[in-house]
Amino acid sequence: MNEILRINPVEIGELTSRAPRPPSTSGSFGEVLADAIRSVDGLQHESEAAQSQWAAGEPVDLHDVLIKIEEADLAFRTMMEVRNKLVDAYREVMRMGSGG
Amino acid sequence: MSLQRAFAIAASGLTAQRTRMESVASNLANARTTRTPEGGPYRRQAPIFVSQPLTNNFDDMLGSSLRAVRVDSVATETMPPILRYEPGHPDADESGFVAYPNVDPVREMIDMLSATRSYEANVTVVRGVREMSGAALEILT
Repeated sequence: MNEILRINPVEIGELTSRAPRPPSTSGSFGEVLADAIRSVDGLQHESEAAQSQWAAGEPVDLHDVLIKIEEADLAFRTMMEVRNKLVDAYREVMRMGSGG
Repeated sequence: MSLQRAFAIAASGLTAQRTRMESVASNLANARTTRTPEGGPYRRQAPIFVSQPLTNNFDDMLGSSLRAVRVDSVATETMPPILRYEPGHPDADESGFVAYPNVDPVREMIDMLSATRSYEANVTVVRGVREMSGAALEILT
Protein backbone atom coordinates (compact mmCIF):
# COMPACT_ATOMS: atom_id res chain seq x y z
CA MET A 1 0.00 0.00 0.00
CA ASN A 2 2.77 2.41 0.97
CA GLU A 3 4.51 1.63 -2.27
CA ILE A 4 1.53 2.81 -4.25
CA LEU A 5 1.10 6.02 -2.24
CA ARG A 6 4.69 6.97 -2.89
CA ILE A 7 4.11 7.39 -6.58
CA ASN A 8 4.70 11.03 -7.47
CA PRO A 9 1.63 13.06 -8.38
CA VAL A 10 1.60 13.97 -12.01
CA GLU A 11 2.15 17.66 -12.54
CA ILE A 12 0.70 19.71 -15.30
CA GLY A 13 4.12 20.84 -16.43
CA GLU A 14 5.25 17.26 -16.80
CA LEU A 15 2.24 16.42 -18.95
CA THR A 16 2.65 19.34 -21.32
CA SER A 17 6.36 18.65 -21.73
CA ARG A 18 5.52 15.09 -22.71
CA ALA A 19 2.77 16.07 -25.10
CA PRO A 20 3.62 15.00 -28.64
CA ARG A 21 5.09 17.72 -30.73
CA PRO A 22 5.40 17.76 -34.45
CA PRO A 23 8.95 16.89 -35.55
CA SER A 24 11.04 20.03 -35.81
CA THR A 25 11.78 19.38 -39.47
CA SER A 26 8.15 19.45 -40.57
CA GLY A 27 7.40 23.03 -39.54
CA SER A 28 3.92 24.45 -39.88
CA PHE A 29 0.75 22.69 -40.90
CA GLY A 30 0.86 24.38 -44.28
CA GLU A 31 4.33 22.99 -44.95
CA VAL A 32 3.22 19.50 -43.95
CA LEU A 33 0.31 19.79 -46.35
CA ALA A 34 2.54 21.11 -49.12
CA ASP A 35 4.94 18.20 -48.54
CA ALA A 36 2.09 15.72 -48.76
CA ILE A 37 0.83 17.27 -51.98
CA ARG A 38 4.34 17.23 -53.40
CA SER A 39 4.70 13.52 -52.68
CA VAL A 40 1.31 12.84 -54.29
CA ASP A 41 2.45 14.88 -57.28
CA GLY A 42 5.69 12.89 -57.38
CA LEU A 43 3.75 9.64 -57.56
CA GLN A 44 1.59 11.06 -60.36
CA HIS A 45 4.73 11.99 -62.30
CA GLU A 46 6.20 8.51 -61.73
CA SER A 47 3.00 6.96 -62.99
CA GLU A 48 2.96 9.21 -66.05
CA ALA A 49 6.60 8.44 -66.80
CA ALA A 50 5.92 4.71 -66.57
CA GLN A 51 2.93 5.07 -68.87
CA SER A 52 4.86 6.95 -71.53
CA GLN A 53 7.72 4.43 -71.28
CA TRP A 54 5.21 1.65 -71.84
CA ALA A 55 3.60 3.52 -74.73
CA ALA A 56 7.00 4.18 -76.30
CA GLY A 57 7.68 0.45 -76.32
CA GLU A 58 10.46 0.52 -73.76
CA PRO A 59 11.01 -2.75 -71.90
CA VAL A 60 8.93 -2.02 -68.80
CA ASP A 61 6.65 -4.55 -67.20
CA LEU A 62 2.95 -3.91 -67.73
CA HIS A 63 2.16 -4.82 -64.13
CA ASP A 64 4.76 -2.33 -62.87
CA VAL A 65 3.04 0.40 -64.90
CA LEU A 66 -0.39 -0.58 -63.58
CA ILE A 67 0.82 -0.76 -59.97
CA LYS A 68 2.38 2.70 -60.30
CA ILE A 69 -0.95 4.00 -61.64
CA GLU A 70 -2.72 2.34 -58.73
CA GLU A 71 -0.31 3.86 -56.20
CA ALA A 72 -0.73 7.32 -57.69
CA ASP A 73 -4.51 6.92 -57.71
CA LEU A 74 -4.51 5.75 -54.10
CA ALA A 75 -2.31 8.65 -52.97
CA PHE A 76 -4.50 11.11 -54.87
CA ARG A 77 -7.71 9.73 -53.38
CA THR A 78 -6.20 9.88 -49.89
CA MET A 79 -5.24 13.50 -50.50
CA MET A 80 -8.75 14.27 -51.73
CA GLU A 81 -10.26 12.71 -48.59
CA VAL A 82 -8.03 14.86 -46.40
CA ARG A 83 -8.89 17.92 -48.51
CA ASN A 84 -12.63 17.20 -48.22
CA LYS A 85 -12.28 16.82 -44.47
CA LEU A 86 -10.44 20.16 -44.27
CA VAL A 87 -13.04 21.95 -46.38
CA ASP A 88 -15.80 20.46 -44.23
CA ALA A 89 -14.07 21.74 -41.10
CA TYR A 90 -13.60 25.17 -42.71
CA ARG A 91 -17.30 25.41 -43.63
CA GLU A 92 -18.22 24.34 -40.11
CA VAL A 93 -16.13 27.18 -38.71
CA MET A 94 -17.57 29.68 -41.20
CA ARG A 95 -21.12 28.77 -40.19
CA MET A 96 -20.39 29.61 -36.54
CA GLY A 97 -20.73 33.35 -37.07
CA SER A 98 -24.19 33.21 -38.61
CA GLY A 99 -25.62 31.75 -35.41
CA GLY A 100 -26.60 28.53 -37.13
CA MET B 1 2.68 4.28 -46.87
CA SER B 2 2.99 0.73 -45.67
CA LEU B 3 0.49 -0.67 -48.16
CA GLN B 4 3.06 0.24 -50.82
CA ARG B 5 5.27 -2.51 -49.42
CA ALA B 6 2.60 -5.09 -50.22
CA PHE B 7 2.36 -3.59 -53.71
CA ALA B 8 6.13 -3.82 -54.14
CA ILE B 9 6.28 -7.45 -53.00
CA ALA B 10 3.41 -8.46 -55.27
CA ALA B 11 5.05 -6.60 -58.16
CA SER B 12 8.28 -8.54 -57.60
CA GLY B 13 6.26 -11.76 -57.69
CA LEU B 14 4.65 -10.68 -60.96
CA THR B 15 8.05 -9.95 -62.47
CA ALA B 16 9.35 -13.34 -61.33
CA GLN B 17 6.43 -15.21 -62.90
CA ARG B 18 6.80 -13.18 -66.08
CA THR B 19 10.43 -14.27 -66.29
CA ARG B 20 9.33 -17.87 -65.79
CA MET B 21 6.89 -17.49 -68.65
CA GLU B 22 9.67 -16.08 -70.84
CA SER B 23 11.87 -19.10 -70.20
CA VAL B 24 8.92 -21.42 -70.98
CA ALA B 25 8.42 -19.53 -74.24
CA SER B 26 12.11 -19.83 -75.01
CA ASN B 27 12.14 -23.56 -74.23
CA LEU B 28 9.05 -24.31 -76.29
CA ALA B 29 10.20 -22.21 -79.23
CA ASN B 30 13.56 -23.98 -79.25
CA ALA B 31 12.29 -27.48 -78.54
CA ARG B 32 13.79 -28.71 -81.83
CA THR B 33 16.71 -26.31 -82.19
CA THR B 34 19.91 -28.13 -83.06
CA ARG B 35 22.19 -25.16 -83.62
CA THR B 36 23.13 -22.46 -81.09
CA PRO B 37 25.85 -19.80 -81.05
CA GLU B 38 27.51 -21.75 -78.21
CA GLY B 39 27.51 -24.86 -80.36
CA GLY B 40 25.42 -27.99 -79.99
CA PRO B 41 21.66 -28.15 -79.44
CA TYR B 42 19.62 -25.67 -77.42
CA ARG B 43 19.64 -26.29 -73.68
CA ARG B 44 16.62 -25.81 -71.42
CA GLN B 45 16.53 -22.49 -69.56
CA ALA B 46 15.21 -22.21 -66.01
CA PRO B 47 15.05 -19.05 -63.89
CA ILE B 48 16.52 -19.14 -60.39
CA PHE B 49 14.65 -17.07 -57.80
CA VAL B 50 16.15 -15.55 -54.70
CA SER B 51 14.32 -13.76 -51.90
CA GLN B 52 15.62 -10.37 -50.97
CA PRO B 53 14.86 -7.73 -48.37
CA LEU B 54 12.46 -5.12 -49.52
CA THR B 55 14.61 -2.02 -49.08
CA ASN B 56 18.21 -1.00 -48.92
CA ASN B 57 17.41 0.87 -45.73
CA PHE B 58 19.29 -0.93 -42.94
CA ASP B 59 16.76 -0.10 -40.22
CA ASP B 60 13.92 -1.49 -42.32
CA MET B 61 15.95 -4.61 -43.04
CA LEU B 62 16.43 -5.18 -39.32
CA GLY B 63 12.86 -4.45 -38.43
CA SER B 64 11.17 -6.49 -41.10
CA SER B 65 11.45 -10.06 -42.26
CA LEU B 66 9.42 -9.31 -45.40
CA ARG B 67 11.09 -10.51 -48.55
CA ALA B 68 10.44 -9.71 -52.16
CA VAL B 69 11.49 -12.12 -54.86
CA ARG B 70 14.15 -11.41 -57.44
CA VAL B 71 15.29 -13.34 -60.47
CA ASP B 72 18.85 -14.26 -59.61
CA SER B 73 19.69 -15.61 -63.03
CA VAL B 74 18.30 -17.69 -65.83
CA ALA B 75 20.30 -20.87 -65.65
CA THR B 76 21.07 -23.25 -68.49
CA GLU B 77 20.29 -26.83 -67.58
CA THR B 78 23.02 -29.40 -68.11
CA MET B 79 20.82 -32.35 -69.00
CA PRO B 80 22.38 -34.34 -71.86
CA PRO B 81 20.68 -33.82 -75.21
CA ILE B 82 18.36 -36.44 -76.64
CA LEU B 83 19.94 -38.40 -79.48
CA ARG B 84 17.72 -39.40 -82.37
CA TYR B 85 18.83 -41.51 -85.30
CA GLU B 86 18.36 -39.27 -88.36
CA PRO B 87 21.26 -39.97 -90.73
CA GLY B 88 19.94 -37.54 -93.37
CA HIS B 89 19.95 -34.57 -91.02
CA PRO B 90 22.71 -32.03 -91.72
CA ASP B 91 23.55 -31.92 -87.99
CA ALA B 92 23.85 -35.69 -87.61
CA ASP B 93 27.14 -37.00 -86.24
CA GLU B 94 29.21 -39.66 -88.00
CA SER B 95 27.04 -42.48 -86.62
CA GLY B 96 23.85 -40.73 -87.80
CA PHE B 97 22.55 -39.39 -84.48
CA VAL B 98 21.17 -35.86 -84.11
CA ALA B 99 21.35 -34.19 -80.70
CA TYR B 100 18.00 -32.59 -79.88
CA PRO B 101 17.32 -30.33 -76.88
CA ASN B 102 16.19 -32.09 -73.72
CA VAL B 103 12.95 -30.10 -73.64
CA ASP B 104 9.77 -31.94 -72.67
CA PRO B 105 6.76 -30.00 -74.03
CA VAL B 106 4.47 -31.55 -71.40
CA ARG B 107 6.73 -30.36 -68.61
CA GLU B 108 6.89 -26.91 -70.20
CA MET B 109 3.09 -26.72 -70.43
CA ILE B 110 2.79 -27.61 -66.74
CA ASP B 111 5.39 -24.97 -65.93
CA MET B 112 3.43 -22.47 -68.02
CA LEU B 113 0.17 -23.23 -66.19
CA SER B 114 1.93 -22.94 -62.86
CA ALA B 115 3.47 -19.59 -63.84
CA THR B 116 0.09 -18.31 -65.06
CA ARG B 117 -1.65 -19.31 -61.84
CA SER B 118 1.11 -17.82 -59.69
CA TYR B 119 0.86 -14.60 -61.69
CA GLU B 120 -2.89 -14.54 -61.10
CA ALA B 121 -2.33 -15.14 -57.38
CA ASN B 122 -0.01 -12.12 -57.24
CA VAL B 123 -2.54 -10.02 -59.14
CA THR B 124 -5.13 -11.07 -56.57
CA VAL B 125 -2.80 -9.82 -53.83
CA VAL B 126 -2.58 -6.45 -55.61
CA ARG B 127 -6.37 -6.35 -55.87
CA GLY B 128 -6.67 -7.24 -52.18
CA VAL B 129 -4.29 -4.46 -51.19
CA ARG B 130 -6.29 -2.05 -53.31
CA GLU B 131 -9.51 -3.14 -51.63
CA MET B 132 -7.91 -2.70 -48.22
CA SER B 133 -6.76 0.81 -49.03
CA GLY B 134 -10.21 1.60 -50.44
CA ALA B 135 -11.73 0.38 -47.18
CA ALA B 136 -9.30 2.57 -45.24
CA LEU B 137 -10.45 5.59 -47.25
CA GLU B 138 -14.02 4.79 -46.21
CA ILE B 139 -13.04 5.77 -42.65
CA LEU B 140 -13.28 9.44 -43.50
CA THR B 141 -16.50 9.32 -45.48
